Amino acid sequence: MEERITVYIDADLEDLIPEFLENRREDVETIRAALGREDFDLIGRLGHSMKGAGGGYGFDAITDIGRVIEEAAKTYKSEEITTAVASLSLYLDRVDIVYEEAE
Amino acid sequence: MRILVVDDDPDIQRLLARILHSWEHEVVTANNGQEALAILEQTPIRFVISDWMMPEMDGLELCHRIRNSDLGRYIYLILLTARDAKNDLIHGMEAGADDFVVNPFNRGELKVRIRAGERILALEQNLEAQNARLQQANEQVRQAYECINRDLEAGAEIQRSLLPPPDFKLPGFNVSWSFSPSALVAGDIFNLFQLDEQQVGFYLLDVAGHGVPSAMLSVTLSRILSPIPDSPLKYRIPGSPNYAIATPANVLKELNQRFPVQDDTMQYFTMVYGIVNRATQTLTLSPGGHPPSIFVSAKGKLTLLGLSSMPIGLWPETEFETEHIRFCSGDRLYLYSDGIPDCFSPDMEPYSQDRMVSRLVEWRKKPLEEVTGALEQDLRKWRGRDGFSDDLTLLALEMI
Repeated sequence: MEERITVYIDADLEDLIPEFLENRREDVETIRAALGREDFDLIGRLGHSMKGAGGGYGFDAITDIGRVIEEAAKTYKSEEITTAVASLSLYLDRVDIVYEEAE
Repeated sequence: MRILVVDDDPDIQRLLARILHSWEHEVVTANNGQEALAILEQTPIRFVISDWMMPEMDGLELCHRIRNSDLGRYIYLILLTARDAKNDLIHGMEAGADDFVVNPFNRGELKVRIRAGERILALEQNLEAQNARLQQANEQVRQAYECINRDLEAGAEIQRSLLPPPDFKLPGFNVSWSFSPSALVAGDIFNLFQLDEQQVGFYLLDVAGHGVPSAMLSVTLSRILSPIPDSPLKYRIPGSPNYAIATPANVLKELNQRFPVQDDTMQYFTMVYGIVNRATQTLTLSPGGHPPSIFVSAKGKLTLLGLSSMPIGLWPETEFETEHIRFCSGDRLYLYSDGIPDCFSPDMEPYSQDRMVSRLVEWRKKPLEEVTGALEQDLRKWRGRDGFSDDLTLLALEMI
């Protein structure tokens, strides 16, 4: 049985979450394709965006992965990127969201 | 409050919009600095939250542009930055950012920073409102000043109309004068008139103080000192010739009774009133606290008339003196106010009565009109700079 990851998110963001997670799934595909072309600029930008948005929505893990991807893209570290993207994909599959009202 | 959110990442845009809405702010979005500027030019938004890294125009550039353009109001700018290096902070501050929030941002932190921004904006708006009110007040003051100036000019006109007209002729005499109020309206006034076939009356007076109150009293006195029956100058008597001419001392006495100073205004005045009788060739003069009148005979002999006397209005019991002197062909009498001897040079030296007297004696052969002009010029030279601080009044009378 796979491990589920539970994340608590502010309830007022509920309707934005599906699109956000969908965009991140797209990012996974986009980055993998960009790796093939060695388009590190694009990878770096996507990592940067992910880093900024993740924590804001409540997904600290996505921020961390984004940081790794951004840094790795600067130094053309394809392997690190591949690993990071794999983590992201796994995370997106396993994440469970619990909505809670803000204090 | 309306907030402009500038970010090229739609996820961040949506997130910020949602969060700001939850705090009851109205949100407008832009995808980059260029769009943001266009929006700021069209709509009066005062609060901007902008990402740093964006295509077309980044947050730093947007900041520069906002600070350097005249959008008519203060705009509070928070930069969102994933860059938290100290250098970036400094660059951002130099560009004019008001505050920073590091991405990913903490909701609570964003909330209080926005609150702080709101406080500063409120201060700025207060300032702008105050400035607008100040400008309005200034405009009102300017208009009031113009109004006052117009009124003063009208007042000056009235005073000038009470003086003898420029082409004034007194049979048997040469008359010349100089009248330069220091401001628009004057406390000095003078006049000359025929009292009867043989007698000519004249006066010069100086109301204490400056400005409108003094001018008003001088106008009042001028109207009263007309050679019409029942004025202080001429009074009715039974039988022919029906009126008598008051002596100078009596004129001053009556004015002294009629115009006592009020405690709060202290408007006393100094005056000389004189009568020349052409038939008897005498001058009778009564001084009232005024600088001594200067009498220069045709041969150049100098007499000062009225060396010490009391002003009008200060003490009801004042007795006024009378001076008599022969007044023949070629003799000259000069009346003036203290603005002339008290005219100070740049070295703070007064023109002085002595200097004035020696000039007038020196110029005794000069035609009378030229003498007043020459004295005016001498005073201007003495003063050395534009504008006199007191009224300059001179009245000259010569028996032909």
